[in-house]
Amino acid sequence: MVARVILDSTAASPLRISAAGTDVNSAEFNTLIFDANQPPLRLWGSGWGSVPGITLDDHNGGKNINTTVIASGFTTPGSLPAIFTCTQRGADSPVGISRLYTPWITLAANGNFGGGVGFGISGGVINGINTNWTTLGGGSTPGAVAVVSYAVFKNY
Amino acid sequence: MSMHILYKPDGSIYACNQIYDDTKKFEDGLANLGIPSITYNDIPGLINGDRWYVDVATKETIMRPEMAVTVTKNVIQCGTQDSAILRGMPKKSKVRVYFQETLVWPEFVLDAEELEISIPVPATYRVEFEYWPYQKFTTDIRAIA
Repeated sequence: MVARVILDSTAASPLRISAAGTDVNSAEFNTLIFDANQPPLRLWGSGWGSVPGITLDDHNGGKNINTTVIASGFTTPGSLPAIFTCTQRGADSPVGISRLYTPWITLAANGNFGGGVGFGISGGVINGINTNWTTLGGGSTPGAVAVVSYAVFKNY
Repeated sequence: MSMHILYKPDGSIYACNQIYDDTKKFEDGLANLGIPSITYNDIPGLINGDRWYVDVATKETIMRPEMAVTVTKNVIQCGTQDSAILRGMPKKSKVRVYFQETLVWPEFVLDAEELEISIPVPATYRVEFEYWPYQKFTTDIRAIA
């Protein structure tokens, strides 16, 4: 004898199903509980990337952004970038700042340094972004290094 | 689960990813962009480029060597009569001196086997040596009145 149970959602229950009437004995677990409103969120991956700052000479010459590819293959349908953080590393710069931010920060320019750090996603690629520059240390000294970290979740 | 390390032509690591999805797709994505990388399967966590680097000839990830620096003293009297001598750093190391993360002596290249430091103002200063592929060396010198 085959036991058949139909799971369905109600206003009082957080349970969701994506296909009503699915046989619980043969269905995939995710098939029973997943729908677009309540994704199970499995981790696709996480990582970090270091992006150099811009020298004052380059900044005055018109360069205002540095980017570095830190992850790719990021075309999985239903992927949900849930957590992105970025931080500046004080040890690699004349300007010492080490903090954790989401997902874009801009320094309060004071004449000695300016810019910001963050990330961008395009064409299945995660780019770390750094617009930091500094006047300290001479025209060839780059702005603060940006360390961009991320975590991406799949909703299937 | 796979770990993917991205590195520059000198072997320095600038990104590291831990992927729980299609490893081949991730590798192909980097290869299509012409980005060199190394993949390790079934290794948890992410590594830090401050301590590791890639031997580009063998494509192996190895720990950056540590500098064998000695310091004669970490506490000195202010002024010109006392000093700390640092030895053992690679020749041509870059040197920086910080006070509370502010660079107080501009970066210079040390063209000698030892560095003698005297400090006029009492405070704790951080001396830093950098020479690729060694790990960065730091030590604090405290100048007292």
